[in-house]
Amino acid sequence: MKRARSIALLFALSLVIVACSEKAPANDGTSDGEGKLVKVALILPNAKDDFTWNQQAYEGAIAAEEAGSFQLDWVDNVGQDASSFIPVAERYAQEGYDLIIAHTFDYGEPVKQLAEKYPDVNWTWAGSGLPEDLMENVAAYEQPFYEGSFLAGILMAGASPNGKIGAIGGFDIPACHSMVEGFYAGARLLNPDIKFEATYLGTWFDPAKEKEAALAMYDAGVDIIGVCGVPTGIIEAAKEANKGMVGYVNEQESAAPENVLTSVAWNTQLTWETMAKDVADGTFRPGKAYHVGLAVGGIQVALNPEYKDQPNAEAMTLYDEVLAKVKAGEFEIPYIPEGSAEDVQVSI
Amino acid sequence: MDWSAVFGAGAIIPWLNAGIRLAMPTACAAAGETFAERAGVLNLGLEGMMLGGALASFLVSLDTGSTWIGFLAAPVVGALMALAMGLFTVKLKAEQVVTGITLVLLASSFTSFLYQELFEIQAAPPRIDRLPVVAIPILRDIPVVGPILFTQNVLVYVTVALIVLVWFLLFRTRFGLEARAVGESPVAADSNGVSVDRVRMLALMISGAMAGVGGGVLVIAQLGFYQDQVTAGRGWIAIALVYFSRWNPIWALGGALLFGVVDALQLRIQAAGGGFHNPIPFEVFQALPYLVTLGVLILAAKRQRRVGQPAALGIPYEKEAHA
Repeated sequence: MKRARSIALLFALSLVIVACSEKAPANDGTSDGEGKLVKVALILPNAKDDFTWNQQAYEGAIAAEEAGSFQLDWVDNVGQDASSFIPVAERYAQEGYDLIIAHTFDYGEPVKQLAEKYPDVNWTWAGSGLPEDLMENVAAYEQPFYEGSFLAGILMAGASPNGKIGAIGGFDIPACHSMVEGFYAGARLLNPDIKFEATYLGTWFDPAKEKEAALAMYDAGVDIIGVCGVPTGIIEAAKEANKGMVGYVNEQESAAPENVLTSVAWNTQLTWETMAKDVADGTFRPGKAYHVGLAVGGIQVALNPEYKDQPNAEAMTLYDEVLAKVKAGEFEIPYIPEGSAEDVQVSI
Repeated sequence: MDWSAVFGAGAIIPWLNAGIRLAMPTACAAAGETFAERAGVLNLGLEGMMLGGALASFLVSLDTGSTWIGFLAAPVVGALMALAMGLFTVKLKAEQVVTGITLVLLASSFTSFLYQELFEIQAAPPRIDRLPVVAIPILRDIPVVGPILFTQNVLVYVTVALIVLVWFLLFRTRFGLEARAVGESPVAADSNGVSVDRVRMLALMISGAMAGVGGGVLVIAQLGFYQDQVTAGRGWIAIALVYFSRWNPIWALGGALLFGVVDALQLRIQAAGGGFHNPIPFEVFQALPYLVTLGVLILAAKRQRRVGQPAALGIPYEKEAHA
């Protein structure tokens, strides 16, 4: 008897959990009247207030909605795994959303499954844009952080008193590897003798460990750290050691004005709007890889004028030159998903 | 690779300091868990209780403006969560593994929800004042040892004292004897007039309080801010360390220190050129603390097999069944 009662109670408890963790899609059916806005659903794996990846996606989508670019519903904290993603995504598909944005690399496989089951819905996910990642109704949006990190690397090399900089990443995957080598390649373009270190943590999220990794780097003489992962712990270390860092995805300058040199900022609003416009125009299919990068303002790197050691004049000149040439289509920033920046010849 | 940046005279003190910082939250939770397990209750809800303690200490610090009052909230919330868990596992005899995992899921979702309800989305997390590093007079002047052991965040001293207290309670008091008896043979304890449910409930609450303190240390001593899922799996590592420690709180502290010091070491080797553009894959560094801890565990197990594992661990005690 007692056991039966406790099992019933546990069941009730698990219902509470489901209720807490899964937010039902809001009532979008009500505002069908005006215009014919594309209906976009944004599915986020983690909390929308993570100060980086999820938050930037959320803020960009809200900004696009407020600008009247599309009609939006979003859900956060869904979890990284397919089993939690599928029911949420399927509900949006059944409710007639035109474009479903699956905002993590981990959603790639379930997206491809669901795209077959719901051929009328357009899907897009944070993929690499390889041919096998795309389908008739599945696109992928790249995250060309390496373009921004190259530009940031120039500023880092120009602002480093010790001539030593570094980067901290979650895992050594192509997106992070190319970003880390991007910092190094950019820095080398300004100063071929620059010293560079990199640490990979083996986790995407652990602020206390990130902070320790950053303190270890500062102890080893590194002046400025670039980031590929959640940056809050590294900002904390930069403040404590009074050293420098580069923000990731969001603009993090306001968190520590004297210690955040710049940010490799991702303009997700532009990325979402580009894809939603294709859906509205009927040009979304066949699904393609969207590269909304530095040239069109999808990635932005702006020097923080309050940073404690401003980059030297040579760095600023080179920064301006590279940015202008990228925008004019005269220079392509190297993508280094594996191997070393030292083996890549870059000339401007 | 510049080894002097890792093992040089100036590098050892910051390295070991970092190791202690990395170890303390896990050490607290692991020491508390030994108490619960000694009493026969498997508390798999540790990660959730750490999260609860972390968020509670942050919110109370922010609200009262006093980090010390915030710190006190951590064990209170941890113990209350353990009390809730005990209602299921101790009173209602529910399956301990399922209940523990349920509690972690609930805490993880609820802390996310609460934080989002309380704080607008913003560019940087709201901050609280961290508790200070305090150097203990005289002792801090001992060469090498002084700057490592006696120049720490004030909460490091507090948590070490709490861990010693847990050990003392467990092995040097009547209550500890009752707890261990209840964990070995609840029937025998019961027939000697010990209230199995009461002792198990208290033991569970001690482990909840210690897990809460672990979460509080993370936020109050180390970060100065809270972020969703800030404990990042430390509760699970703490549970593994209990096996490593053979159910002794002091050894749990030792195991956590070993893990933390090796973790700090691998971060420092990477930062000094050990990983970047070297043939050794980064994964080797990331795995190092786990490998070393596992290695020590195996060596220890060769000498003494599972000594200390309570016989009634994880088994609910139902009085009627033995009447």
